[in-house]
Amino acid sequence: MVLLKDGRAAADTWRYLDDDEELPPGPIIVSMARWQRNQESLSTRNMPLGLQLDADAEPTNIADDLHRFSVICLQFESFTDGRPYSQARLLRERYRYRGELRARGNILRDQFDFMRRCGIDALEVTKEADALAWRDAVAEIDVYYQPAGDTRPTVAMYRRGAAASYPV
Amino acid sequence: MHVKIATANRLTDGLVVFLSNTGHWIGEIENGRTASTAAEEADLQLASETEASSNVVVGPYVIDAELRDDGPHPTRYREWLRLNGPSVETQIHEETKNVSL
Amino acid sequence: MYRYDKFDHALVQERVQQFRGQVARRLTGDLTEEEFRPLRLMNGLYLQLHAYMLRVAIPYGTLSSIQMRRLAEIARRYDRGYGHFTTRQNIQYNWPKLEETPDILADLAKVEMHAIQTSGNVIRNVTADHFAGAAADEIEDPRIYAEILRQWSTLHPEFSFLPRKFKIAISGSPQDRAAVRVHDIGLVLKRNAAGTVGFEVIVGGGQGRTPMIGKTIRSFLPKKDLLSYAEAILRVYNRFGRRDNKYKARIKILVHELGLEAFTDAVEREWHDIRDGALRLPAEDISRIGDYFAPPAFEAFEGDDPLLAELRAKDRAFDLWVRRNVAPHRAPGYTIVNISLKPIGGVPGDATAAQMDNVADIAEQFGFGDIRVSHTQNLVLPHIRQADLYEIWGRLADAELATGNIGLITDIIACPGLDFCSLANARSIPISQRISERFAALERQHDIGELAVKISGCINACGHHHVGHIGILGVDRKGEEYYQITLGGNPESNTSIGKIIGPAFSSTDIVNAVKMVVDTYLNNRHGGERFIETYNRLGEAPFKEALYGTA
Repeated sequence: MVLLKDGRAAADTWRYLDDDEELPPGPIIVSMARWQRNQESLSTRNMPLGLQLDADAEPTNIADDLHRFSVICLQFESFTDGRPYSQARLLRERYRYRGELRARGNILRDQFDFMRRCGIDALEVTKEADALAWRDAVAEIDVYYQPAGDTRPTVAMYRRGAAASYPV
Repeated sequence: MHVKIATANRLTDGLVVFLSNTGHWIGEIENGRTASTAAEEADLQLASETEASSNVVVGPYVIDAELRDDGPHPTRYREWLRLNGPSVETQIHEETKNVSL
Repeated sequence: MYRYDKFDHALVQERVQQFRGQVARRLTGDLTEEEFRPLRLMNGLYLQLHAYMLRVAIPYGTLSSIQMRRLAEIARRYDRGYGHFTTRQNIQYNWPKLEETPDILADLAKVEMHAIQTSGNVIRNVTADHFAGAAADEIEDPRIYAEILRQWSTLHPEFSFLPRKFKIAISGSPQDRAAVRVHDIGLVLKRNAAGTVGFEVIVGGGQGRTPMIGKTIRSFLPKKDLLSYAEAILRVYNRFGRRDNKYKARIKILVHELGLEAFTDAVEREWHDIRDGALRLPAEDISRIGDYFAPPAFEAFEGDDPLLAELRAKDRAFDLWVRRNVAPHRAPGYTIVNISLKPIGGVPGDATAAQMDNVADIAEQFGFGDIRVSHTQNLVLPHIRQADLYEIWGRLADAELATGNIGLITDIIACPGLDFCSLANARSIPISQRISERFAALERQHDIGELAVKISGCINACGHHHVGHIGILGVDRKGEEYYQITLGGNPESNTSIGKIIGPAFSSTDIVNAVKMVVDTYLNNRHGGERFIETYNRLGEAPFKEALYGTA
């Protein structure tokens, strides 16, 4: 597994914690269930905390606690399950989450740009070849018709003259 | 005699192929590898799903056939269609393929 | 019609390159079939019984002569010399090679065409009224909004992995020629009390295993809110649509299971947060797209062409063709010409490369180069001068494109069925051919009148059998092909789903069964009643009696 942060390989300082594991020192990522059970002790721990969301998790439920999490992980278990893309956009655009938004699961290079546009800035990539191809993969399509969480100018904006000239 | 044969679609052009005795995927069912016992069928299934095959064909599966003098005849009409092509006349034109666009 | 600017060109070209890379990775084994499959579906490439099938998008069923000629060329160069026009206004090729598909897409890109999102669990081709821009009863050209939706939905990063496919249709007239009530989202352009044009929004229609009529969730949506509202609907669907069962994954099931009120509420709440954001459509964006759909420079005629009536009186065959295939146009002296792709005994919706070229030539010479594809698998020349009708009819007849059967019993819609499709249980094309031949006599067809026969080879209902006046569904009964008849479906404004009339018929008996249904209608009709009117008046009883001998 290669961790990419904004497209660059990075060391992963985080540890995923099982629901029944004791709290170790250091940065940990817990499940929603663990967070809801141990909110008190996790909040007062004074160490970086991350949250793992299942694909059916409701972002509204943690909207008020987002500032506690340095990283939120979205589960892309199956290539065909598109729910985490909506979760990402809601977290970024509606609830203004500013920490690291990470995708984990069976991620292929063909998803990189969709994920990036939805506000995901870290990827746990399974295939090393895909990780190495990140730059090429996200450069494949650079025309965006619709606004998303990434503030990149859309075609409509260019046409209106509302964005600087298109870099072709 | 009832037999089983492995079939798939060729990756490059999608055309219907059958697994031969030599482990190649071929267009002619007559030379297809047949299985007549449960053990042979299991072997046939495995042989059709090898790593190598996954880059030559798509979606291999095993079909029923009747072994006759002139070779295997698929039992299901669907497989007969796959073997012989659509039952309706399709247009086939002789026009040259090397037209520049 | 819409013309690409540099952004649209860049997108399709980039997409072709991306797909070329994906194909290369598949051929070397870098991508497994499981990984590659969703990617190739996003580019319209299916694997069928005999070969791959490429579905090329014809956005809202509109194409130019140049584009039609390219489709003909692709049929000749990469396929077997023909193409098949579908019930969603697209074209399908049945024999492309995977390794040549990037080249096909590159050739399409040169004429502003593509195969993006014509299959897979994405937002598909937005279909519209095939008479758009020409129909006399049109409030506004729906294709403006179809194009706006097309762009918004193309490579949408949030909605590229939906629970299932998503189909949108738009009607610009009170008379619905786009079957909006059997789509995931149906939009109807209308005026509110103040005279402002906006949309009625209908959600949750569809055919397939569980046919449902869509429900109105908003009776009036202002134009500026079109995209934000669509985004709200899609987000609710993407988040809550079922993913556990392929046959329960369409939005219609979500609407049904939540209940209309709860569903509407979820959409409205989502929309509330995004309606004033970046998706708000400024009037200038709408008019920029709208300009592409401005009417062509029609000649100013006083009224109908004076010679037309004379020609019709003199030439019986021409007259019969005009009666069925020619529709009224909003501009005086003009007409809409329907080109039937249902020759007697032919494959419904198929056209040879030569025929495509002929249509392109006729459209270019006589019709502003404007061609449409209807969701009844026919072609349309939307802007034809009445004065040119006779000559065009002759040219069409030479190309075997002048079958005068639009809306008649031989204007059959049929999916490709078991002859091509790996999902099918039974063949549909041979049934269509036999019905067509049985009822070939044109005078008889005219006597029977308007009768929509629709045939599907399986429950996925790509032949739209649920909304056929007579619907036929192919089923597999112990390895044999059997055919179930439904009656009373209607695709138009008073949309209804047909009712199964009784046990299925064998392949041998089905055509005779259809004849018995038709005879029952003929024996019982009042005045000038069409089939569907007689059925609605009498119900299924006399038809059931005729078919099964029971009341």
